[in-house]
Amino acid sequence: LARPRSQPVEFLEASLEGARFVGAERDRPLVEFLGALFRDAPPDLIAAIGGPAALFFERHREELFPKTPVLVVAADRRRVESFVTQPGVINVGIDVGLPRLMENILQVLPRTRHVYVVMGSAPLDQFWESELKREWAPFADRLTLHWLSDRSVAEMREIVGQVPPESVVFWGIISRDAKGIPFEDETALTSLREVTKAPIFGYADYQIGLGIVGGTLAPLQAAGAAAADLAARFLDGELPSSKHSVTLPMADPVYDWRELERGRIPESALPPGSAVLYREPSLWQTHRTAVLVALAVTAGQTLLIALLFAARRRARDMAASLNLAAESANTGLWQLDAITNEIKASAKWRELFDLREKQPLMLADVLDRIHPDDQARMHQVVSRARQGAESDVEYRIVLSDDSVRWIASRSRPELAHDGRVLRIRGASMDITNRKRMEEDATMQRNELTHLSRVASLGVLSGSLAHEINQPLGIILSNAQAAQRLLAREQPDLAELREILSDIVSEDRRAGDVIKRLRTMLKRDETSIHPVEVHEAFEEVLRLAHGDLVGRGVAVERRFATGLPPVQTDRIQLQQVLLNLIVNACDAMETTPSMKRSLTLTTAADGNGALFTVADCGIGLPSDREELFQPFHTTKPNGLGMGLAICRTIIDAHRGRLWAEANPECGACFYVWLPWSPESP
Amino acid sequence: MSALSTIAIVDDELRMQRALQRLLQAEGFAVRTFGSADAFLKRPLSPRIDCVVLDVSMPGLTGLDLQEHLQQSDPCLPIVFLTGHGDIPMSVRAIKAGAINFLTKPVNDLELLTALRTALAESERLRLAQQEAAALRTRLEKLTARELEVLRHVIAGKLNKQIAADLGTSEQTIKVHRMRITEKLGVASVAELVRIAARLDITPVDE
Repeated sequence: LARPRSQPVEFLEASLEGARFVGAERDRPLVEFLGALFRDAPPDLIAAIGGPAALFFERHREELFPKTPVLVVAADRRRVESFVTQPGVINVGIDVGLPRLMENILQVLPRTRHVYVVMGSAPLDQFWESELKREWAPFADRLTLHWLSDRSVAEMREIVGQVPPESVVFWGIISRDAKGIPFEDETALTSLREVTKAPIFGYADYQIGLGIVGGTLAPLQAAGAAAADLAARFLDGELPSSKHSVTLPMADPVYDWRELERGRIPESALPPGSAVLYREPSLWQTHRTAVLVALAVTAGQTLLIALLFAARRRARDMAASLNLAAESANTGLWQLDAITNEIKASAKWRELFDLREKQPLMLADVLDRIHPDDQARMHQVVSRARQGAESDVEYRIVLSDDSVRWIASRSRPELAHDGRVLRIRGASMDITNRKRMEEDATMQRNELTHLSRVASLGVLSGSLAHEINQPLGIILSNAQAAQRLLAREQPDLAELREILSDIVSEDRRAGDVIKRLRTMLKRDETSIHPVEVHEAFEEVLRLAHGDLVGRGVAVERRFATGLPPVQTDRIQLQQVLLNLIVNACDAMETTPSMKRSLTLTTAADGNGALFTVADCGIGLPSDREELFQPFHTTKPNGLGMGLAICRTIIDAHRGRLWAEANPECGACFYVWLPWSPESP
Repeated sequence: MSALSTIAIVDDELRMQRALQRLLQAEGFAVRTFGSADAFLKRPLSPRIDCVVLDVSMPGLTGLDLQEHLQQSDPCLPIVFLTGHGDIPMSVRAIKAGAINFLTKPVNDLELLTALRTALAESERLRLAQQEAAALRTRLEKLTARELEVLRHVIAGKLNKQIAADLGTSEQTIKVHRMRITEKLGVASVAELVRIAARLDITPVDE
């Protein structure tokens, strides 16, 4: 419709979100909004896309736009039967054959025994689920249907990740999952596909390419195109009448080649006349020469290795072939006599431990090499090994030139027939490089977290100055007043005592502010511990107090009582909360000062705590996940790292951080963290 | 200066109020304290306040908001601002709107007292000037329209003969008018008349 036409077309898109929430009372704001928008002239055409939109207009057409023609697009006839008979209502509908969808599955995977049905919990979803249950009842004797609509997507992922063989997943409609979290179809489908081995089947034509296998599908996309065509004609002047209404049948079968491969479905199983999309040329076709050469080489190597093994297949010399492999992997082999404590080791091992020449080589020589910090632990490992335990450890050694190496060792005991340990055999490897890289990565992560924290505090510097200047001001004025009192003939001692008492309190207060600052600024390793929820929140509020007052933001607290501690790093949690609070204040910059309010809540949620920070500011962009991407910023001087880092922090604590728009105004950010293990 | 000037302290922190109160009382001022701009606006009007020491950042109505209010209701009331933030844009706004002074916490006693005394003196001077102007205006009202016209000619530097010609009467009549003017206003020399006229915004004729 947006293609060039004789006159420009103005679109107004109003999203109902009605599929997600219950009740016609939710309609009111939208009805009033639409009424206000079009008070002067009604729109020329209304396109109601989907069942819920059509039903909305069934309820309100008379009140709002009685004369405007309505195009109902891609709604199933079940939902809109009565509405489409009204004059001026044209239907470009679909007829979803639910049994067909099941036949799709059984046609290509006849041995299917389990079908996991992924549906959401919104009213629209529930309607379709009950339809499915009804129309799929006949199939219940040949397979088991699992209905997942009462689960959150996180739970669904878990379930679907562990399905038995001969299972498929049927992707229904998720507007909102059981946890109340709304969904975008595409990302949810892709995320589910990642975790499951089972092939996924869908119901609509636009889902091909997103991860479903295929079949005869509901023609939603086709309906959209047909409707656009009709709309163009109506806007050009053609009079809408019932002859324009049409119900599209299910589309011809179409399949995604990639999903067929993934589900190991042979093309011979497809119904005749099926179209297969996204076909990739096989490895063979694109890289013939390379493949041939690789095959030849592999064949040669395999032969070589087989020969080697054949030549050396003597039980006692198995060690030699292991040695061959081990040399190339930088591994040293060793053997400890449990009685004499003497060690026999490969040249590589001696090189690794810098004990090249030592004869005889004793256990004590090796233990000497171990780094002092790892000594105690390794002694324990050795004594357990002597009692028959296998070991798999990492530790440091110090060489004669004082350099340090990280070693990974594995060992197994060799037992006598009476269970005594005769020998211990093992392999050791140099892992210094890997360790160094791990340390670098951890350090960088800590650095980034720290810098982000410093930046957050920098933002507060104005109000932090206030927090310190207040007590200092009180101390100074009190002291100078005291000086004057002392200059009198009869100084008022009671007054002087009070003055000193105030001075002492304020001094402590200033000290606290500084202490709090230092704690936040310290560069510390992450330490995950039980943390009291409300204390942490209150401390953050104290830190931000000056800022909040200075910017005229009123704070409302709704804290649940008796919450157990959560498992997290206290300072990092506070860093996240601070970030959210500062963001909220920024969002309310342009809000009139009487309305600037921040609402903070805490509550128990499942097996953890849920914190929310809600503001009444400019709200969120339409893509909420965009906010959490690195370098996303709406501020001219913003770095754009704040929320990305917050997410990283919360994820690392096994929590969740997400954002939603508030119904009235502004945004609400949610942080969920698990309880500490000791908590009930 | 009046016997005992009363200073109002408006700050949302009780300890800050007390500290400043102690200091000012030790210096011989009377002090009234308020915990918010709102409380200040709703105050009983007696005893009369001579100067306000005002914290800029308070929850609810801020110090600057209060200043705007007072511009309307009490434009002669001098304000000394105190802030813990040291925010420059804020201070510019305040000074533009007529604040006498903008001090940062922690505030030194001498700084604060100097600012207060300056503010009080300035306020007093304004008050007296206003009183004087009011008195003069009362006297001016006693002149008749004709006399006022004559006055306007006199301060333009015209001689009696000219004035008579301009106004179409006799020189004698003009002399009589001038005598009345002198009685009513209480001044004789033309120079003084010019000064008074300037004070009361009376323009000489032909200007």
